[in-house]
Amino acid sequence: MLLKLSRIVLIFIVILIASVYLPHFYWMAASPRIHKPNIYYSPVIKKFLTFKYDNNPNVFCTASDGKTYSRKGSDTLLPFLNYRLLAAKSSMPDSIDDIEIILEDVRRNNFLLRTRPYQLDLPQIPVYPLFESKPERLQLEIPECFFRITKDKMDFINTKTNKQNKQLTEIFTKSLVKAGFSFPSKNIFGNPTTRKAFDEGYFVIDNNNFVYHIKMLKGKPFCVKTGIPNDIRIKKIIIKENSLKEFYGHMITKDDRVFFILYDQYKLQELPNEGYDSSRDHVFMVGNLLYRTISFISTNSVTSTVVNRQYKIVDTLKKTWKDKYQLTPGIISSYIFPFTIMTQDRSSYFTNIFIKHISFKAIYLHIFLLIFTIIYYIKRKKSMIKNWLDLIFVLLFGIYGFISILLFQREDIE
Amino acid sequence: MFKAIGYKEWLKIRWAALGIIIAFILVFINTALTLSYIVRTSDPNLYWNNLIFRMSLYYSLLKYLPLLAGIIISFFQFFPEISENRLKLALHLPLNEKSIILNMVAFGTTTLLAIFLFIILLFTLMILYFFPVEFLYSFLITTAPWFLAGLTIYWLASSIFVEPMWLFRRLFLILISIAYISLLYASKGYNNFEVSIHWFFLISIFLSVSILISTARFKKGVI
Amino acid sequence: MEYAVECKNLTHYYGKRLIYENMSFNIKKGSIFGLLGKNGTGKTTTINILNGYLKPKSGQCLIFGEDSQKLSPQTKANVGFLMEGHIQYNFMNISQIEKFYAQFYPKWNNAPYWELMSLLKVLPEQKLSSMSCGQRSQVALGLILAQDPDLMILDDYSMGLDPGYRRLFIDYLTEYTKGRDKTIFITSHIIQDLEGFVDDIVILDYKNVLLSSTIDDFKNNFRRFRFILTNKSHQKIEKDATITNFEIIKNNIFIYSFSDINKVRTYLQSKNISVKDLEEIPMTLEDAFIGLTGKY
Repeated sequence: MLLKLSRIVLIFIVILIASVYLPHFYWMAASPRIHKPNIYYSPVIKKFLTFKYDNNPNVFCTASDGKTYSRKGSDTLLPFLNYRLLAAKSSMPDSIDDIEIILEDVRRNNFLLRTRPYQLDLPQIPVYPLFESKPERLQLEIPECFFRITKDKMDFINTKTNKQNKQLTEIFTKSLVKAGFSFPSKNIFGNPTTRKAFDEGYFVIDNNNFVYHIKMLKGKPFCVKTGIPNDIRIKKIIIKENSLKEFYGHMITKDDRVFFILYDQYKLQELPNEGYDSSRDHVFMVGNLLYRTISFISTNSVTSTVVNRQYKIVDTLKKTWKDKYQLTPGIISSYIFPFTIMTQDRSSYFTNIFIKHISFKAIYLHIFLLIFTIIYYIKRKKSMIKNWLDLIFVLLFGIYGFISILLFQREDIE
Repeated sequence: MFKAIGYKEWLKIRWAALGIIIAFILVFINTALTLSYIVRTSDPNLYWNNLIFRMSLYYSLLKYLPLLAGIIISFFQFFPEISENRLKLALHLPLNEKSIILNMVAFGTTTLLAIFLFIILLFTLMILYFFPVEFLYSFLITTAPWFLAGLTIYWLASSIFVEPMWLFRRLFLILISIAYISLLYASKGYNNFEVSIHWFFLISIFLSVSILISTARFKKGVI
Repeated sequence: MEYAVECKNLTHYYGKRLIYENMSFNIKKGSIFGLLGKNGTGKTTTINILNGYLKPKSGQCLIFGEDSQKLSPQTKANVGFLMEGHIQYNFMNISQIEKFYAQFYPKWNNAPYWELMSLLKVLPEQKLSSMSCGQRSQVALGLILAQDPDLMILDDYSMGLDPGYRRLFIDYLTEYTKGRDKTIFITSHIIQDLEGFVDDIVILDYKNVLLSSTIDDFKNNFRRFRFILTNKSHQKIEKDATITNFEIIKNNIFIYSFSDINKVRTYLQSKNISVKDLEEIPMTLEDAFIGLTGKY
């Protein structure tokens, strides 16, 4: 009984391993190159430009009206993106839409933000440095004390001694309590890096799902309840300090909505989320003096929406292409592999067992292998009735099951 | 009688086990000295920042040691058994054959577990000395697949040793083992297996009885 | 129950190589049984089947009435097993190994073990791996004697032993079985050592059983004859019911047979083989064994 069970267990494990590695090696051998287009919105001609690798040197990009441009020709179509280049060549336009172009304004208003889906699901040792946000010497420094939020306090720990800093702990805990914070915290979001001009500290979700803003100003706590409603189910807040000081960063909710958290009283500015799936898509945001473009990039499509500075939708574009599963190698693979198991997925930084690419087309191969097995049994004079479970494995798991039953034959344990 | 089996297994692996413990202790001393050196001579806040946000691991020396330990224990336990088919002597003992084999495996497993728990305890004390408890949790989650790999390779290597059919069968078992063990090492940074370690734990536990199939084949005399 | 061991219709192949087909034999309780044959004729194969380490292609062995593939712990406790080459746990020393086995066998009696060890002049701390083949054979024998089983299965006890140790081995076994209801199954390729010790013998050849008899019968009835070659009629000589084996050395022809000289002469003449100076040549047991099994 134990033997029978262990054989079945081993068969399942071989199926698991085969369904990880066979597709893996198949794709190592068969993966084609896929040319994903990049999309930018041209504030000059008010059209989307699609940049796509092409053998034709004269066509560097295509506008949404079908007109094509060479590399040189396209530079001036994106003056904000290419302002350094254009300024160096003195070909920066003086004005666009009657707005005077001042290089400093262009620089200040430009931003690029890319959020990969796994960044929404990252591991974290929940111990954080709290920077002095306005350092006297103008340079952000990693503090000597790191904090954590426990069930009743904001606990500062000296990294040299690994002992609590009583003074900081006390004043910050007091300040949080005064602001109405309910311990413990459910999540802490920040951008702890010294490679930025100033620090906006942390956005912390308290036990009642309210969002608090915590930072350190001249050694004193700054703790504010933001007023972000507590019925918004927040997946991630990505803080990105920007000298424009328009928003602290953006927030992605569990129902795949995207917001900027504005400096203006922590108001939320919702962004278009047409076609967004946060477990699948990269979020790519391009901002400039006149427009904000938000793109959601999946493995086989990109949806770009451009809004003006008042966040009114100006234009939207969806481009699709074939990913590897839609091209010939992918179609072939769908006839071979009934499913693929992966331990890594783009939706998460964590290792897990992901069952992907379930294909019912593989049933033909299953039936073929089943017939093959039956013929093999007849030739070897093996009993079909005693081996019924093996036949089921072949039928259900196709090539994976076939390999498993060849490796662990029932005769071994009789 | 099972005490006697334990006695026999102990005679085979005691020096190997001692060697493994010494290797683990050396790694522990090295790690502890490195940490204390950093705290004494430089800015530990920068170091903490690296550990938390760049995900560098101060205990990465531990990564392959449990794997090595599993292979070594399995070798010292089962190589004498298969050389000159000595396993026949064990199977001739007046006990149920499955329980003889499972007891041998249980003894090796217990030894490995004891060594692993000992070293985890040492690291726990050290981590709590240098860091807040959050670091300990991360250490346990991050090293769990490594220690699990050590136990798993012990079970797999033992069934590979006992498997009587050289080349074809053993080669396949070796390939399966490498494939499965690599899954446990498919990690970057820390806490990778936080959401899935229990699944891998379950799969590995099931692999612990794979030696029964090899033994059944050994007994049947598949050559 | 009359038999300690019953083997019925054993057939075994390694891959496509036939070891034997439909071999059957029984071993009476209290008797000593010798399985003889040259190396590679299937002696160890039979032992492996008997101990359940090998599943024969067909046929079955019973030990004390139990299927040898599924021996119960009680039966295994009652069977002593000497592995080919006197293999034992050579990572143990002689006192550790005694301590180890003692815990498994209810009838354990360590007196014969230590008696043998005292003859070897080794220290209790001496490891088996540092002992000579002959010394290790005494350890293995001592352990079996201490176990005090009703059936002993001894696989090629003589392997690697010089004559003194071989004699010692048999002496101890003789002493052990004397007046007790003990059964021994012994394999060997040296028949003369077993003279006066074993009761029944089976002699194996490649692919089949050559003889199933007793040593005395074999010794008394198996004969060698010689005659001189005169013409080419000897080419008609072949192995059959009368001529068990034959050899041609220069112009001498040797015939091995279970028949007496007259029968052989008549038989040869009936086949029109010219026979000159036919005479019986006396043989030792070893000669007879080689004569039966052939030199190759």
